Amino acid sequence: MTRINIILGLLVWISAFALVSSQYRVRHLTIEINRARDVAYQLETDRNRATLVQSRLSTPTIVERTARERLDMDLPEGSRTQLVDLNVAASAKDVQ
Amino acid sequence: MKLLKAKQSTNANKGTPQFAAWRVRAVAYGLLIGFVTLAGRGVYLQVVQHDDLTKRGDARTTRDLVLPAHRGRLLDREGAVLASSVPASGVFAFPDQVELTPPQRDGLAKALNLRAKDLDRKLDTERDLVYLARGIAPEQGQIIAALKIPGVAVQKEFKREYPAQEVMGQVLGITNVDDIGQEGLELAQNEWLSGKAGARRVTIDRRGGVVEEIRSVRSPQQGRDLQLALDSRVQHLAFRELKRSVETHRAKGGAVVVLDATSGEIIALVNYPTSNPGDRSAAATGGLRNRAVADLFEPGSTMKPFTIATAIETGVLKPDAFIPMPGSTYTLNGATIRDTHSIGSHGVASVTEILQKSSNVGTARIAERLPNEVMWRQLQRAGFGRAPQTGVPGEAHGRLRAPQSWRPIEKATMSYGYGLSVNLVQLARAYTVFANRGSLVDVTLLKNGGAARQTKVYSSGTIDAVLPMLEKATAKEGTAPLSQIAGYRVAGKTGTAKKLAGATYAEGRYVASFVGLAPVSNPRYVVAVMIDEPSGGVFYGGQVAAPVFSSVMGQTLRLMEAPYDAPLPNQPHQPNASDTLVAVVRENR
Repeated sequence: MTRINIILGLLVWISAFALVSSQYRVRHLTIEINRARDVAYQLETDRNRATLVQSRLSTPTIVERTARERLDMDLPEGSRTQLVDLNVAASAKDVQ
Repeated sequence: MKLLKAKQSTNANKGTPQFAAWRVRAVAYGLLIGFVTLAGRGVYLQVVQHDDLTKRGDARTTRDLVLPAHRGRLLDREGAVLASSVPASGVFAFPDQVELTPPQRDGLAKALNLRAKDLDRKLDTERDLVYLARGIAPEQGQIIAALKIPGVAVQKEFKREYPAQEVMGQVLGITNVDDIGQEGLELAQNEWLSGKAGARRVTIDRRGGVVEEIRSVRSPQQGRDLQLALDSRVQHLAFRELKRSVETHRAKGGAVVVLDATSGEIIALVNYPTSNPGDRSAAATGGLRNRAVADLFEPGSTMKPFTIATAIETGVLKPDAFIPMPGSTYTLNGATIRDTHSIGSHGVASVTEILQKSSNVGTARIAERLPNEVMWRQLQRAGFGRAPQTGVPGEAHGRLRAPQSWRPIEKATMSYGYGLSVNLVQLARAYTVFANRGSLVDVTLLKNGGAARQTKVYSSGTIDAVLPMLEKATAKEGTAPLSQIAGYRVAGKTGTAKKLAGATYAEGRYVASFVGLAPVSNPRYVVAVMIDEPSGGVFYGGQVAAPVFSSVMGQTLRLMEAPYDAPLPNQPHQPNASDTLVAVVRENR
């Protein structure tokens, strides 16, 4: 009888210890999850902000201004446009 | 043995104290009462006061944490961001609780970009709560939070950013400080774009740190992105050309609409003058008013193709007919209709000539043949007098009076675009009938993948007759040779309408317009241009609006790689099977 009581007592002790340990782990993991969520949210926010900056820097207005002022480019007009017949070009290449 | 038992009995009597029975009972009852009281108290606390005590306990150990949800983005048809919400900080204070040391005061003022005395003025108020700043950068918010000023708090919020700025001004609209749509598409699509913040219940420790998650109170719903039909590149070039024209002709303003003729998608919708979509002061003064859908004007001669198409459709006019022309004036009900110069020869003019030279007299003579109800019904079917349903708030319906009240002179003036009013999108939409073999297309600002509802207004035969007339109107002999585009056939019509000032038409104040489509062999786009009150010496639609059409349509077609359908000057290869041809820009300038 005494032996059974001792075994049961030990089981209770182990169970209590496991409970405390698992509670500790749960709390620890919760904190980790929250940190990870915060990081995920921050990364998502940073991504949105980066996309926005990219969009801001690639607006046609800025691209055109940069091309005109820094690269000395301008918009092609019809009178400066030349048509190239791809079929003719391709057959000429075949002949070569 | 007997002696031993007797001895044990004597020892037992000596070791056990004897109590009076009443004392035993008193203690027993006392203990019983004590236990009953404890049990009763336990039941009272656990059952009767359970909810209240649970709440009090939870208040100390649990918190509902807000899970933020951002507003959805607005994207153009290629996925470029047009509007996006970015995290920001709001700083507010409870003035009666604020205790500032001089360094804190200076630090707070500096972080808020305020002068110290302006900060003092903000805090010197009777109000319980005052916002010191909204929508500031999160870094600024962190600096202020680090100052740990009693009575000053920093909250997380969102701020709307618009990369394209004034180019998209009136179309996108604006949100308020709480990120709720107030104008334009931001208002019209607010429900779709809005996010709903979530919450989760957590257990916190003594220092406020989260130690355990109890449950999710509600999941956050992030705002949904919305893809628009607008193309940033076309929007930009339309804005550039419109701005140039308005400034060159010293006009009061203007608008341009670019429509996909088959899908009804609005590729570009620009206004000038415009405002930055984030500018709340502009919204307060009406600067974000989208004139292309909210403002009405009399369309003038851009209405003539509809009169002629209706007459051909109903059989009262043959496309090759000649109309008797009494001269450059025509008197009806005592009112005189005028042309700027007489057309035709031998007292007659062809229908093509009437449209090509934009004759008011000729169009009025054609309209005389049409019953009021027939003309009204066709105009209504072409979308006049009805809002085009773009989804933009504040859309004007346009005016098209009931046919019963039309007098002959009113029908005549309506035939060439006076006495009725339209907005620019409505007019552009109406022209889709000429691009779509007689079908009117529902317009939309949202990308629809080419699926648009079409309503048959005119037969293909009628369009086959009218479209060449519209093409001739853009020829050298027509009213709009400046609308031509190298490499593409275009068709369209000019409009120059006097503006109403009260009950009469004002002298010298005009609305110049041009609506056209291209390429004629396979129409892809409709472009409508309206310039309000040009005052730089020229005011005709063919001189003011047609060049804008030519630039916008030409660049759009080249940008979208639309096959050429007309000769290009000085080309070794003229376009035929256009899919085998590519355009290159010659290096020699």
